Amino acid sequence: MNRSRPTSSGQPSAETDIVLSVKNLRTEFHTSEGIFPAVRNVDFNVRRGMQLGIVGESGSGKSALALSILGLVRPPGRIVSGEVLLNGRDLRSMDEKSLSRVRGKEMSLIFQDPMTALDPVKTIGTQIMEGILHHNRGLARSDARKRAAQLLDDVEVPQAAQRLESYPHQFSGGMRQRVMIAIAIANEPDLIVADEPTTALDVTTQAQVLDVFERLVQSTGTAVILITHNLGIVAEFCDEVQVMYAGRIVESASTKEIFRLPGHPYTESLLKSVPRPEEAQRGKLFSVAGFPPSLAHLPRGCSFEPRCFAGKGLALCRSERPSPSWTGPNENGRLVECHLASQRLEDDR
Amino acid sequence: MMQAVVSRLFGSLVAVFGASIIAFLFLRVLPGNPARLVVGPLASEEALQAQMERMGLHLSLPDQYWRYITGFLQGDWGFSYGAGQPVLVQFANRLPASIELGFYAFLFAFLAAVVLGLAATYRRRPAVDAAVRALSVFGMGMPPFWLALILLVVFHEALGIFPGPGLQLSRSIEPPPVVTGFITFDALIAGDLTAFADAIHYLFLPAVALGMLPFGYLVRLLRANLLDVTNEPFILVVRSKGIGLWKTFSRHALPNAFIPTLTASGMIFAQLLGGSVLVEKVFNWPGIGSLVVDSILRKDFAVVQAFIIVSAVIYVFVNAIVDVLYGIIDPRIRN
Amino acid sequence: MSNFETSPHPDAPQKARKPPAPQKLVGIENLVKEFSIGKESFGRKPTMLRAVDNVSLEINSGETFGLVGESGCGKTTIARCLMRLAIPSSGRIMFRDTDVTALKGKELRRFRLHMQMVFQDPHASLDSRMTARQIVEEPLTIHDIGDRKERREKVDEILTLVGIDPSQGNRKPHGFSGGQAQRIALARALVLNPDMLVLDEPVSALDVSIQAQVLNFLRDIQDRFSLTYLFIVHDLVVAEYFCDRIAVLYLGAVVEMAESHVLFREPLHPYTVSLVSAVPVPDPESRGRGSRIVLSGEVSPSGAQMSGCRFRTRCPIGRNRENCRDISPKLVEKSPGHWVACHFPGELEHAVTAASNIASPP
Repeated sequence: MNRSRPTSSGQPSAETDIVLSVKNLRTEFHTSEGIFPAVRNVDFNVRRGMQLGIVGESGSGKSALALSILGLVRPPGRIVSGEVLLNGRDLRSMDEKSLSRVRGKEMSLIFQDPMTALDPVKTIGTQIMEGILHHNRGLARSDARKRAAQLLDDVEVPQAAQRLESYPHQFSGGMRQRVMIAIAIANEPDLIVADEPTTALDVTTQAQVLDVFERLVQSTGTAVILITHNLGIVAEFCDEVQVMYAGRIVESASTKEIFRLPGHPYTESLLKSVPRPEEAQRGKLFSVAGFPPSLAHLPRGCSFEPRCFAGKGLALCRSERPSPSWTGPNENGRLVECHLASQRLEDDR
Repeated sequence: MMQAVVSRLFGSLVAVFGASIIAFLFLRVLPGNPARLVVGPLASEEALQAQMERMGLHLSLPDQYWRYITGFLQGDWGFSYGAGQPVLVQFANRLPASIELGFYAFLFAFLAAVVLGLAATYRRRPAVDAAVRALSVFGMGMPPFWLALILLVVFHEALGIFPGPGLQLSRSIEPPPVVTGFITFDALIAGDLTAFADAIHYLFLPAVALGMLPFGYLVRLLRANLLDVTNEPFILVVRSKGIGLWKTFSRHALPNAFIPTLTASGMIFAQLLGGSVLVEKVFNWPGIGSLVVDSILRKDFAVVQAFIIVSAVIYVFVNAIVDVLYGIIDPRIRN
Repeated sequence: MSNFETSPHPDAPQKARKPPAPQKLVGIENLVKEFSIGKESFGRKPTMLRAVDNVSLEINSGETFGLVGESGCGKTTIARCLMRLAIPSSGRIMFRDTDVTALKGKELRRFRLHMQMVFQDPHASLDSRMTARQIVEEPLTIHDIGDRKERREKVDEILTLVGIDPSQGNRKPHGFSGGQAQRIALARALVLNPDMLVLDEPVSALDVSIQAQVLNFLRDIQDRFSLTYLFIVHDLVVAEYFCDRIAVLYLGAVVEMAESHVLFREPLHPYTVSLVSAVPVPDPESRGRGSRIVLSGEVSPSGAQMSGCRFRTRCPIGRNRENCRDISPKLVEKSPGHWVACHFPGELEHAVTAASNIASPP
C-alpha cells in the first residue's frame, strides 16, 4: 500500500485549508444517575484531505465526539457549549433545515457495526439513493440509480447494478461495510467521520475494506476522522492521532511521533498493552492498573492520575487538572495534557 | 414460497377443523338435554324421543358431528329455538354490526397508538413520554363497560355531543341500500356522505370504549419498539445522510417498529371482530356478542357452536393476512 | 489489590516461562461435524454443511493451543464438540484415556468437572438475574460439592483470586464492567479446579488495557494450576503472543499447524501468509512496505464442497494450477512440528519477501 500523498502535518496552514474546526466543545449526558460529560471542552482542527485518528477505549467519549460533530447527539445527551465550524460555518447555530443540507453533503458518517447500520427492510439501492436524491433535488430517479450502481462498483461490490435490489441481510459483513462507504461518499463530502469502521470484520475483510476506503478518500481528497481502538489501524491509516481519555484529548501529534515517543503516560500505556511479535517470548504484558473513572465523578486532579505509572500519588497530579501544552523539541509540535509532559519528553532526549 | 403457502393453508384448515370438533364436543358434554328445551318441561317422554330423533341426538357422536359439519358447510347452521330463527339468519343480522364496531375500535386503537407512540419518542421529551405511558396504563386498566358508561354519561348525558344508545343511524336519515351490510361502507358506496357521517357519529363512543384497552396495549408495544429502533445505528446513518427527523421516522423507524407489533395487532383485531358482550350491552348495539351471551344462558347450543366456528375462521383469516403482511414489510421473512 | 491488577513498570524485566512438558491431554481424531441448512420437507434432503471437516490435532498438558481463523472457519464448532455441547458427526475426541464422544449421563457430568468454557461476551454469557456469588457457586451446587459453609469459603477464595472483592459478590453482572464480568466468568470456570479451559475469544470484547490485564491473569493461573488452554481467537496479534502452538483453520479444515513463533515467522500456507500480512501493525515506520496481501473474495461455505484445494479460488498462487484444482492437499509435516496442507508451501512467503526487499531498501 504505497502512499503517494505527502502528509501535510506540521505545515503552517491557511484558514481556508481547514475543513473542520472544533472549539471548546462540551457534550453532556444528563441522567438520573448524574451528569456525564462525555466530551469535555475539546479543541482541534481537521485540514483538507487529512486522515486523523482518534484513539480511546470504551467510555472515553470518542463516539459522543463523533455524534457531536454531526450534530446528532440525542437526549439525554446534548452539546452544552462550544463551536463546530465546518468549512467556516458554525453548525451549532444552524437550524435543522440548514443542517439537513450539510449532513450527507459536506460531511457524512460511517458507523461501527455493519449488521445494524443499514435499515433491514429497505433495499441497498434505496438506501444509497436516499442520500443522493435528498441532496440533488430534481435529479431523476433513473439517474440516481445509475449513480448508486456506480458507487457500489467503486467500492468493489461485484455485479453492482443487480445488487441494488438486494437487502442488507443478503450481504456479508464486509459487503455491508462497503455499502456504508458508498453511502458516505455518495455526495463527495469534505469530511467523513468513521466510527470503528472495521471493528466487526475479519482480518482479511478488514484489509479489503480499508484498502477500498483509503483509495477512495485519497482520490477525492476527503478528510477523514477515524475513530478506533485499534492502534494497528491508526498506524497504517492516519497522518495524525489524538488520544482521548475521560472526555479529553490528552495527546495530539503526528502518527510517526506518537508511536516513536508517546508523550502522555496513558498513550504510552496503551501502546505497551498491545502484544507485539517481539514480546512473543511470553513476558508479561504491560497493563494499565484499574479502570477508567466514572465521568460523573472525575478525580479533582488529572483524570488519569489514579492509573498513571508516572504520576500516581504526586501532589501536583492529584490536586490540579493539567492543561494542554505544546511540547516536544521538534518542529512538528505536539499537544500533551500532562503535568509531567515536558519532563518526560526531555528525559528521552 | 408456494410450499409455504400450501402448508400455511393446510394448517389453517386443521385449526378450523379442530375448533369445530371442540365446539361440537364441548356442547354435547354439557348437562341438559337440548331436545328438552325445544319440547318444553311438560312434554311426554315420547315427544322428547321424537324430538331427539329429529335433531339427530340418537346417533353416535361421530355421525352427529358429520351431520352437523356437512350441514354447516351447506349453510345449515342449525335452528335457534330460543329466537325461533335459523342461526344463519341471526348471524347475518347481527355479525355485520359487530364487525363494523370492531373494525372502527381497532382503527381508533391503532391510529391513536401510532400517533401517541410517535409523540412519545419523536423528540424524546420525557414529559410527553410520561403522559403517553400514563394513558397506556389507563387504557389497559379501564374495564371497557365502565368506560362505556362514563363516556355515555359525559358525552351524551352531560355534554350531548354524541348520541345515546340504541341506534346505529339517526331515524331521520334514510339508511343506504344494503350491499356489504356495514352501514358506513354502504353509505360510502352509495355516495351518501351524510349517512356516513351520521353512522360514524353513532359508532364513535362505542368504538372508543371498545378500543381503549387494545390502544393501551398497542401504544405500549409501539413505544417500546420505536425506542429500540431509534436507538439502532441505522437511524443515525439515515440522519447523517441529511434526512430530516420526520422522514427518518416515517420511512425507517415506523416500518421497523411495526414488524414486532404485527402478530399482536392481528390477535387484537380478530378478537375485536368477534364482538364484545358488555360494550354491546351498554350501547344496546345489535351485535353478535350480546346474542351469544343470551344464547348461552338459554342453552341455545346451535348459536354458540356456530359462534365458535366463525370465531375460529376469523382468527385464521386474520392470521393469514398477518403472514402476508409480514412478507410484504419484512424482506428477511420472504425467503 | 490482587496480582491481577498490578502492572510492572514498563521497563521492568520480564520473566521467562518454562516450556510445557509434551504430554498429550486431548486428542482429536478425524473430527467431522455437519449441519443441515434449510428445512427438510416433502422427502427433499436438506443440504449438509461441513462445519468441521476431518480435523485431527493433539493438545498437550499445560500448553496453550490456539485455534485461529476467520468467522465460519469452524473453530467454535470444534470447541463445542470438545465440550460435548455438540455431538460430532464422526470422529473421536480423547481426553486422557476416555472417549468424550461416547460419554453419557453421570460420566459426562464427571468429565465436565475437568473442562470448563469461557465465552466472548461476559454480559451475555452470565445470567443477569444472579449475583456474582451465585454465579460462581452454581457449579459447586450442581456437582454437589461441599456443604454451605465450604462452598461459601471456596467462592470467597476464588473471587479474591480473580481480583473481585468478595464483598461486591452480591452485585449482578451488569453492576460490573466488561473486564470485571469476564473475571467472574473465569471464576465460575475455575471454581471446580478444572484441568483445562476452553477460551472462546475471551478478550475480544475488551478494551486494550483491560485485555492486557485478563491475558496476564490467564497466564498467571495457568502457571499456578498447570492449566491447559484451548484458545479460540481471531486476533492474530493476541494469538501469537499468547499461544504455544496454533492451528490455522480455513472452512473447517486445518491448513497449517505449528509452534506459534514458527507459524508467524515462517508461515508456509498462502492463507496463513495472507492472514499475517493483513494484520495492521502498530508501527507507522513499517507501513508502505508493500507487503500486504489483500485476498480477493470472501469466505464462502460452498468452498468446502469444491474439488481440489478449498482455498484455491482466493489463493494468490494456486488459482490456475492443475494440482490445486484437482487434488485436495493433505496435511503433512514439512519440518518437525510444522504441518501444512498445500501443494506449494512457502512459495507465497518467498514472493512477499522478495517484493518487500525491492519496495524498501535497507
